[in-house]
Amino acid sequence: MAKSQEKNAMLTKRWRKLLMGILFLLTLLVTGCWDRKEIENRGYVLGLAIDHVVSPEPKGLYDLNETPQSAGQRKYKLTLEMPKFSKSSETKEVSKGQSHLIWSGEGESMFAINRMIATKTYFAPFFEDIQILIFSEAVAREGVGDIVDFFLRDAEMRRRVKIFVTPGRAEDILKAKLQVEEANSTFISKLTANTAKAPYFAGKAELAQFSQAIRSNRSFAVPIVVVEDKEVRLIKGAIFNKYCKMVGEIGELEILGGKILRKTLKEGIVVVPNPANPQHIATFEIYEKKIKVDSHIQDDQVLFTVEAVLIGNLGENMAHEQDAVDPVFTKTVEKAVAAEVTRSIKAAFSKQQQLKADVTDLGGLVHRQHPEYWKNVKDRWDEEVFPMAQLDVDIKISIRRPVITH
Amino acid sequence: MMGWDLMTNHNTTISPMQFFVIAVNSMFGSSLLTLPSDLARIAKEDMWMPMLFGSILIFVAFWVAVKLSAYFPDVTVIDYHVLLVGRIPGFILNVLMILLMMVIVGIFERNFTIAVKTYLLDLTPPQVINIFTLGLAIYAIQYGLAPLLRLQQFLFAPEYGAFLTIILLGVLSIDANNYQPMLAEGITPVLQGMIPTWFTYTGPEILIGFLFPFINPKKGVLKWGIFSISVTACIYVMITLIVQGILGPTETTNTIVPTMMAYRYIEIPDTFIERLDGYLMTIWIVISFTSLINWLYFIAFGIGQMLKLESSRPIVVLIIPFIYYLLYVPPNAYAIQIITQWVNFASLFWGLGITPLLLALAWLKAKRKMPC
Repeated sequence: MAKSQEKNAMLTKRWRKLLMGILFLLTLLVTGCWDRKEIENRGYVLGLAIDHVVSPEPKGLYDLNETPQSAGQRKYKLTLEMPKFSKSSETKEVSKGQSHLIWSGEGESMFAINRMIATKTYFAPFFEDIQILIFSEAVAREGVGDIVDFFLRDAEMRRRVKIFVTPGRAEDILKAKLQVEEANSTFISKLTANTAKAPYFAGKAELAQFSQAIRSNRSFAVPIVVVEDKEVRLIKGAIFNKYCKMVGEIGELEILGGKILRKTLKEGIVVVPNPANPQHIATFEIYEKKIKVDSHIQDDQVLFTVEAVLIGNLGENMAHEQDAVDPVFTKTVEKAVAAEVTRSIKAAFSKQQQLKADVTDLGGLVHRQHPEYWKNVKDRWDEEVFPMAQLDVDIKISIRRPVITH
Repeated sequence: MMGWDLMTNHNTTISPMQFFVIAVNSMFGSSLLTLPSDLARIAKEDMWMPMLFGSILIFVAFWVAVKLSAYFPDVTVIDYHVLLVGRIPGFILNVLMILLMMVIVGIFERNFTIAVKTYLLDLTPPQVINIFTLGLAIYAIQYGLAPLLRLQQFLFAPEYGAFLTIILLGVLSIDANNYQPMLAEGITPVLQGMIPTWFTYTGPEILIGFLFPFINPKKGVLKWGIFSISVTACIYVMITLIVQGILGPTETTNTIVPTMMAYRYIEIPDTFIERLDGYLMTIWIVISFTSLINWLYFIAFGIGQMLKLESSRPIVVLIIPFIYYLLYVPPNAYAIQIITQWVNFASLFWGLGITPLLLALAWLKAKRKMPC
């Protein structure tokens, strides 16, 4: 018995020694991270632009943009913007000169184009820091549901990527020389932070919402971006129907109404003719809001009711002779602002009906409030039911103060 | 051998609170990351309800398992199977139970590898992730339950503190519209959704069979076990609610690892809080590893008991290649999904079918022994 125990102890000691030896050897193998990749070998993609291929013929001796594909056509041009790092002595800084690098490829598969670009640059495209994705209007009108599949499927892709449409070539937005030194994609991405201050463009449309809309067969809107004379601007909204095809635009003044319908309005201004002198104007600044949107079913017809109280300042009064705190004057401005906001809401609503695209997700409201009714109409909502829906708007404006002067 | 060790020293005990730690850690497997997808497919906007009500099933199974173990306070599940149904049927029951545990571990590890490979170590071959995880598990288990338990007790508060903090940050990105309409399809989808939640909760109803003889005092077992299920249920419901609030039911249905996807979306502008998937993954790897070593330990312990070995330590080394083989049996994601469904049913059948039958048998046998 004692011998057996001694033998066991010996075995245990041997096991320990063996394990210690293996662990020691492992330290030699696991000193570095398998996934280590030096920062200079990563191609940090900041923005993507997708256009139709203009002319598939090569301009030079070699066709550098052609993507080898065993299936599909040479249909889309994918352009990537990456930051340009200068090789300063100690630190990596963004170059003071040209702040970006542009790479592109042409084909149909976004994945294949992306891999082809990796034959042009040793720092292969890396999408974890991507900020924006821009479609040209031509591509958007043809439909983007299939194109975005790669971006929704790829594990590197951020779901916060902001989506835009541009009337011209999307690549021009990335290639443009802007006044600022940062990369165009980063700058445009940051512009969307002002959506609360200036609700003239269709808010922030992120890849996550894009994906939700595609999977739920829902219409959606994305802002339009334009560039001219070293300036970039976000305007209007591109309306996509439930088949992911751009079918029209919603104007900047109607977007305010659209945001009230969607209950996403945060701040904003409304300019109206000045009641004291119609030749001049008065401007109301919204800083607080209470919005209630409801749906009602009457005789198989849908009626939406919007009740909103918008509270704010008289931000501008161009009729100097008028005392801005005069209650009669204030009431008249409030009525004028209410009329303009009502017009904006109704215009946004009828534009969507006209285009058969419920981008303010009023269908979602019907789903939440009348699930039984929704079951019967969800498949023909955009085409048949929504265009026949009625809207009742009740807007109340409250001017709290004329900012700091009478 | 220092201290007590169930593998070598059967005269030692653990407290009910220590069982609580083991039970919670064992429940937190990889299904935490994938489950919301199944629930969203079945219950849509009510996907959080099956998660809540599913815990009731495990409460019942745990209660049954404790009552059954109480009939045999000095022996483990491996022994009382034989005592209850005879040598051969008992042996078959034991083999089936051990196989079930092995497949559960295989699914845990396979899903763990997929998540780590997709979201953290994309260049590392999955085999390397498995070999190092399982290799580390062999080393951790070699010294028995005592160091495992100490490690789990030591990590418990900081681990779950950090885990809860990260989880709660998800509240910042939820959209309340994603929770409505409530019960639009009635209660049936909620009840159907309770079935896949079983796999998420499975653990305490099986492990109690191994640990019951060593728990002292036995009075607190039921209380602490139910507490462990309640704590886990709260965390699971919270995660499901947050994932639903961020992704919505449709998007959750279409995502393979919805929890990671949801936490990748979280971002608070102008702060350091963004893309919490990395932080969540880091904490989850630790939690998942403790779950893995618990399951592996009890598989080895069970086999050791079946073979009447003095120590189960060599068994750990022997079962790892088998587990590794099991990992690569499913050829693709669809196969994993189907196998998971079957294992879920098998485990459900074990907990709410076989164990209650054994309890009834134990009760009958005890009744017969009682003097008239």
